[in-house]
Amino acid sequence: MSDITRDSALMMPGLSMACLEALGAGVLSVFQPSALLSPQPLDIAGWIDRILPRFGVHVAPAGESELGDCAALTIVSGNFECEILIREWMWNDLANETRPNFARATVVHEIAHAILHVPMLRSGAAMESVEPDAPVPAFRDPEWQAWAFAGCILMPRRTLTMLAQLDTETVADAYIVSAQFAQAHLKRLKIFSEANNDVVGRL
Amino acid sequence: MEGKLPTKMSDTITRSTRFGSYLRASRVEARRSLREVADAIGISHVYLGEVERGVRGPLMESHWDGLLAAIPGLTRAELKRTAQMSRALEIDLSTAPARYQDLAIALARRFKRRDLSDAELSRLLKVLKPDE
Repeated sequence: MSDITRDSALMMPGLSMACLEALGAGVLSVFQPSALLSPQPLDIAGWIDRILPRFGVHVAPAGESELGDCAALTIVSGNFECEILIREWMWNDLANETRPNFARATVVHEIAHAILHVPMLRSGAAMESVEPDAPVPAFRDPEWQAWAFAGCILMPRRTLTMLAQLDTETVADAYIVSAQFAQAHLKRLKIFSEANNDVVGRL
Repeated sequence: MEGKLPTKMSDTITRSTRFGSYLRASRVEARRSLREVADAIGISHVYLGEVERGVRGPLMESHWDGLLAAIPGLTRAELKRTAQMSRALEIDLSTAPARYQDLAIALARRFKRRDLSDAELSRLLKVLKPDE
């Protein structure tokens, strides 16, 4: 399988956090509307089993022959579908672990690619290729966009405001993500300061 | 967490088999998960996913009873038809008359090149399958 980032880096059309937050709320309103009403962890295993396939997104465990050295791979498939392949241990974690932080974040990151980037890859829409080491602004970097979008889906601002406290541990526990991912998301929302290691703003 | 293990996007279009596509479409239509079906017929989740994606060929017939029980709407006739269409076809030319050998080789070449027009395909099928 080809790797679209092997010989060059892609620059996507720019997406702001405000745009990604709005898109994230739209995704939740269809896939799990209750997640917009109160802070709650998303039912990722349920999305995989019951919701995503109806939208042509198929998440499945795969071996090294397909994944190589990757943790996960999103593949354009057919006319309107896409495959998200993940390591078997991640697949098992989703069903058996109480806090499968990494597996949950990785799957939602790949779902973000499926929503934001697969349609563009399929259509050959306006994307620029640049040299692998060339600087790409974060808001145009597909990996940054996918992580930021995953954060907006997993930890929507609307329900963050309902938490009693806005520290990383509270956020991580409420949404079943790692403290590191929670912190990165709060920073993107500009409500966390690394210097003070604490919340600096109000939502 | 972010970026510690690489993830990728690929623009390669996957090549599913008829059998795999039929199996997945029926499973999704019946709202059965990959996990449920693989567990019901006693094969690994990875293996069933590979069959659906066409990485592997059709499931052996010994699993079909389990599939039919696990996925409402699936039919044995369609499993058989799609399985036949998903396997490589071998023809022994060694004892065939020379003109039949020519026909088989010419057909195989054109099949590989996929360059027959719709009209040519229709004419050939009319000769080869006059009753359909």
